[in-house]
Amino acid sequence: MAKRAVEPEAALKPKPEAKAEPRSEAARPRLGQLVRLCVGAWLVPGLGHFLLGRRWRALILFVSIVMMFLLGLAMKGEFFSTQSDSILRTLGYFGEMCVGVAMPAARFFGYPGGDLFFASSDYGTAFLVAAGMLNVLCILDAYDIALGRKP
Amino acid sequence: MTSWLVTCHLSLVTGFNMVIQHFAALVLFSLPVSVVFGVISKDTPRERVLYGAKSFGLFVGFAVVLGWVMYLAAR
Repeated sequence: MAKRAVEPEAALKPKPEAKAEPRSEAARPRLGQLVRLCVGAWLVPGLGHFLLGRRWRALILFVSIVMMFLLGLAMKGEFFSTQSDSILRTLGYFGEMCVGVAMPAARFFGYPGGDLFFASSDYGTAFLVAAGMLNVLCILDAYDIALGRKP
Repeated sequence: MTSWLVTCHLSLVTGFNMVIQHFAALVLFSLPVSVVFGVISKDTPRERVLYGAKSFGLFVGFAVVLGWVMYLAAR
Protein backbone atom coordinates (compact mmCIF):
# COMPACT_ATOMS: atom_id res chain seq x y z
CA MET A 1 0.00 0.00 0.00
CA ALA A 2 2.77 2.48 0.95
CA LYS A 3 4.70 1.55 -2.16
CA ARG A 4 1.68 2.27 -4.37
CA ALA A 5 1.21 5.64 -2.66
CA VAL A 6 4.80 6.59 -3.36
CA GLU A 7 4.76 5.68 -7.05
CA PRO A 8 2.13 8.24 -8.16
CA GLU A 9 3.99 10.93 -6.22
CA ALA A 10 7.24 9.98 -7.91
CA ALA A 11 5.52 10.11 -11.28
CA LEU A 12 4.35 13.66 -10.60
CA LYS A 13 7.85 14.92 -9.94
CA PRO A 14 9.31 16.68 -12.97
CA LYS A 15 12.27 14.92 -14.52
CA PRO A 16 15.49 16.85 -14.51
CA GLU A 17 16.09 18.02 -18.04
CA ALA A 18 18.90 19.87 -19.66
CA LYS A 19 17.71 23.45 -19.52
CA ALA A 20 19.57 26.52 -20.59
CA GLU A 21 19.30 29.73 -18.70
CA PRO A 22 19.71 33.05 -20.49
CA ARG A 23 23.05 34.54 -19.72
CA SER A 24 23.43 37.62 -17.61
CA GLU A 25 24.54 40.86 -19.23
CA ALA A 26 28.11 40.31 -18.02
CA ALA A 27 28.33 36.77 -19.47
CA ARG A 28 26.61 37.71 -22.74
CA PRO A 29 28.99 37.48 -25.71
CA ARG A 30 29.95 40.74 -27.38
CA LEU A 31 28.48 41.76 -30.69
CA GLY A 32 31.75 41.13 -32.51
CA GLN A 33 31.91 37.60 -31.17
CA LEU A 34 28.34 36.94 -32.24
CA VAL A 35 29.00 38.31 -35.70
CA ARG A 36 32.13 36.18 -36.09
CA LEU A 37 30.22 33.16 -34.86
CA CYS A 38 27.38 33.67 -37.32
CA VAL A 39 29.71 34.38 -40.23
CA GLY A 40 31.70 31.27 -39.43
CA ALA A 41 28.52 29.22 -39.16
CA TRP A 42 27.47 30.56 -42.55
CA LEU A 43 30.78 29.89 -44.29
CA VAL A 44 31.11 26.29 -43.08
CA PRO A 45 28.01 24.36 -41.99
CA GLY A 46 28.38 23.34 -38.38
CA LEU A 47 31.34 25.61 -37.64
CA GLY A 48 29.26 27.76 -35.31
CA HIS A 49 28.41 24.76 -33.16
CA PHE A 50 32.03 23.64 -33.26
CA LEU A 51 33.22 27.02 -32.00
CA LEU A 52 30.72 26.76 -29.16
CA GLY A 53 32.10 23.39 -28.13
CA ARG A 54 29.22 21.28 -29.44
CA ARG A 55 31.47 19.09 -31.55
CA TRP A 56 29.18 16.13 -32.16
CA ARG A 57 26.36 18.39 -33.20
CA ALA A 58 28.74 20.27 -35.46
CA LEU A 59 29.87 17.06 -37.14
CA ILE A 60 26.33 15.80 -37.68
CA LEU A 61 25.15 19.12 -39.08
CA PHE A 62 28.20 19.41 -41.33
CA VAL A 63 27.78 15.91 -42.73
CA SER A 64 24.03 16.35 -43.29
CA ILE A 65 24.20 19.70 -45.03
CA VAL A 66 27.25 18.90 -47.13
CA MET A 67 25.76 15.56 -48.12
CA MET A 68 22.61 17.33 -49.24
CA PHE A 69 24.65 19.82 -51.26
CA LEU A 70 26.72 17.08 -52.89
CA LEU A 71 23.58 15.16 -53.82
CA GLY A 72 22.33 18.33 -55.44
CA LEU A 73 25.51 18.56 -57.47
CA ALA A 74 25.29 14.89 -58.43
CA MET A 75 21.79 15.52 -59.76
CA LYS A 76 23.13 18.47 -61.72
CA GLY A 77 21.10 21.05 -59.89
CA GLU A 78 21.13 24.57 -61.23
CA PHE A 79 23.16 27.40 -59.75
CA PHE A 80 21.00 30.50 -59.84
CA SER A 81 22.34 33.97 -60.45
CA THR A 82 21.27 37.46 -59.50
CA GLN A 83 21.15 38.48 -63.13
CA SER A 84 17.70 37.21 -63.91
CA ASP A 85 14.31 38.79 -64.37
CA SER A 86 12.60 36.37 -62.05
CA ILE A 87 12.56 37.28 -58.36
CA LEU A 88 12.22 33.60 -57.50
CA ARG A 89 15.48 32.78 -59.24
CA THR A 90 17.17 35.63 -57.38
CA LEU A 91 15.82 34.25 -54.12
CA GLY A 92 17.06 30.85 -55.18
CA TYR A 93 20.55 32.33 -55.61
CA PHE A 94 20.53 33.67 -52.08
CA GLY A 95 19.21 30.34 -50.85
CA GLU A 96 22.11 28.52 -52.45
CA MET A 97 24.58 31.08 -51.15
CA CYS A 98 23.44 30.35 -47.61
CA VAL A 99 25.47 27.13 -47.72
CA GLY A 100 28.59 29.28 -47.54
CA VAL A 101 31.79 28.47 -49.39
CA ALA A 102 30.35 25.29 -50.89
CA MET A 103 28.87 27.04 -53.91
CA PRO A 104 32.01 29.02 -54.86
CA ALA A 105 34.10 25.93 -54.16
CA ALA A 106 31.95 23.88 -56.51
CA ARG A 107 32.40 26.48 -59.22
CA PHE A 108 36.13 26.58 -58.55
CA PHE A 109 36.40 22.82 -58.99
CA GLY A 110 34.64 23.00 -62.32
CA TYR A 111 30.96 22.52 -61.67
CA PRO A 112 29.34 24.11 -64.72
CA GLY A 113 26.27 25.35 -62.87
CA GLY A 114 23.87 22.58 -63.68
CA ASP A 115 22.24 21.02 -66.70
CA LEU A 116 18.61 21.99 -67.18
CA PHE A 117 18.06 19.11 -69.59
CA PHE A 118 19.30 16.47 -67.17
CA ALA A 119 16.53 14.22 -65.87
CA SER A 120 17.06 14.92 -62.16
CA SER A 121 18.10 18.55 -62.45
CA ASP A 122 14.95 19.89 -60.77
CA TYR A 123 15.49 17.63 -57.79
CA GLY A 124 19.11 18.67 -57.62
CA THR A 125 18.17 22.34 -57.55
CA ALA A 126 15.78 21.68 -54.69
CA PHE A 127 18.54 19.89 -52.80
CA LEU A 128 20.94 22.79 -53.28
CA VAL A 129 18.50 25.43 -52.05
CA ALA A 130 17.31 23.26 -49.17
CA ALA A 131 20.90 22.77 -48.03
CA GLY A 132 21.20 26.54 -47.81
CA MET A 133 17.99 26.82 -45.84
CA LEU A 134 19.13 24.16 -43.39
CA ASN A 135 22.34 26.09 -42.86
CA VAL A 136 20.29 29.17 -42.01
CA LEU A 137 18.56 27.16 -39.30
CA CYS A 138 21.95 26.05 -38.02
CA ILE A 139 23.19 29.66 -37.90
CA LEU A 140 20.17 30.69 -35.87
CA ASP A 141 20.63 27.69 -33.59
CA ALA A 142 24.27 28.59 -32.99
CA TYR A 143 23.20 32.16 -32.20
CA ASP A 144 20.66 30.93 -29.65
CA ILE A 145 23.22 28.64 -28.03
CA ALA A 146 25.71 31.52 -27.78
CA LEU A 147 23.10 33.63 -26.00
CA GLY A 148 22.31 30.81 -23.61
CA ARG A 149 18.77 30.28 -24.85
CA LYS A 150 19.53 26.65 -25.69
CA PRO A 151 21.86 24.07 -24.12
CA MET B 1 25.90 -0.09 -59.84
CA THR B 2 22.23 0.24 -60.82
CA SER B 3 19.13 -0.07 -58.75
CA TRP B 4 15.42 0.29 -59.28
CA LEU B 5 15.25 3.77 -57.81
CA VAL B 6 18.62 5.32 -58.40
CA THR B 7 21.00 5.08 -61.29
CA CYS B 8 24.45 6.40 -60.72
CA HIS B 9 26.91 6.77 -63.48
CA LEU B 10 30.53 7.48 -62.80
CA SER B 11 32.37 8.93 -65.70
CA LEU B 12 35.81 10.40 -65.81
CA VAL B 13 34.59 12.96 -68.29
CA THR B 14 31.22 14.03 -66.98
CA GLY B 15 31.72 13.36 -63.29
CA PHE B 16 29.27 11.71 -60.99
CA ASN B 17 25.71 11.84 -62.31
CA MET B 18 22.67 10.63 -60.48
CA VAL B 19 19.35 9.93 -62.14
CA ILE B 20 16.81 9.43 -59.45
CA GLN B 21 13.15 8.53 -59.15
CA HIS B 22 10.79 10.83 -57.34
CA PHE B 23 10.26 8.65 -54.29
CA ALA B 24 13.99 8.09 -53.87
CA ALA B 25 14.54 11.84 -54.10
CA LEU B 26 11.92 12.32 -51.43
CA VAL B 27 13.58 9.83 -49.10
CA LEU B 28 17.06 11.26 -49.71
CA PHE B 29 15.72 14.77 -49.14
CA SER B 30 13.89 13.85 -45.95
CA LEU B 31 16.89 12.18 -44.36
CA PRO B 32 19.25 15.14 -43.84
CA VAL B 33 16.34 17.51 -43.22
CA SER B 34 15.06 15.26 -40.44
CA VAL B 35 18.52 14.90 -38.96
CA VAL B 36 18.99 18.68 -38.84
CA PHE B 37 15.50 19.22 -37.43
CA GLY B 38 16.18 16.70 -34.70
CA VAL B 39 19.57 18.13 -33.79
CA ILE B 40 18.51 21.75 -33.53
CA SER B 41 15.02 21.31 -32.12
CA LYS B 42 15.57 19.16 -29.06
CA ASP B 43 17.88 19.31 -26.08
CA THR B 44 18.82 15.74 -25.19
CA PRO B 45 20.25 13.09 -27.53
CA ARG B 46 17.32 10.75 -27.00
CA GLU B 47 14.82 13.47 -27.82
CA ARG B 48 16.79 14.42 -30.91
CA VAL B 49 16.82 10.89 -32.26
CA LEU B 50 13.13 10.40 -31.59
CA TYR B 51 12.17 13.73 -33.12
CA GLY B 52 14.34 13.12 -36.18
CA ALA B 53 12.84 9.69 -36.70
CA LYS B 54 9.34 11.06 -36.24
CA SER B 55 10.05 13.86 -38.69
CA PHE B 56 11.40 11.44 -41.28
CA GLY B 57 8.42 9.16 -40.88
CA LEU B 58 6.02 12.03 -41.29
CA PHE B 59 7.80 13.30 -44.39
CA VAL B 60 7.64 9.95 -46.13
CA GLY B 61 4.26 8.97 -44.73
CA PHE B 62 2.52 12.12 -45.81
CA ALA B 63 4.06 11.84 -49.25
CA VAL B 64 2.70 8.33 -49.65
CA VAL B 65 -0.73 9.39 -48.40
CA LEU B 66 -0.82 12.42 -50.68
CA GLY B 67 0.22 10.25 -53.58
CA TRP B 68 -2.71 7.95 -53.01
CA VAL B 69 -5.08 10.87 -52.57
CA MET B 70 -3.95 12.36 -55.88
CA TYR B 71 -4.19 8.98 -57.57
CA LEU B 72 -7.75 8.43 -56.35
CA ALA B 73 -8.74 11.99 -57.16
CA ALA B 74 -7.49 11.62 -60.71
CA ARG B 75 -9.45 8.47 -61.39
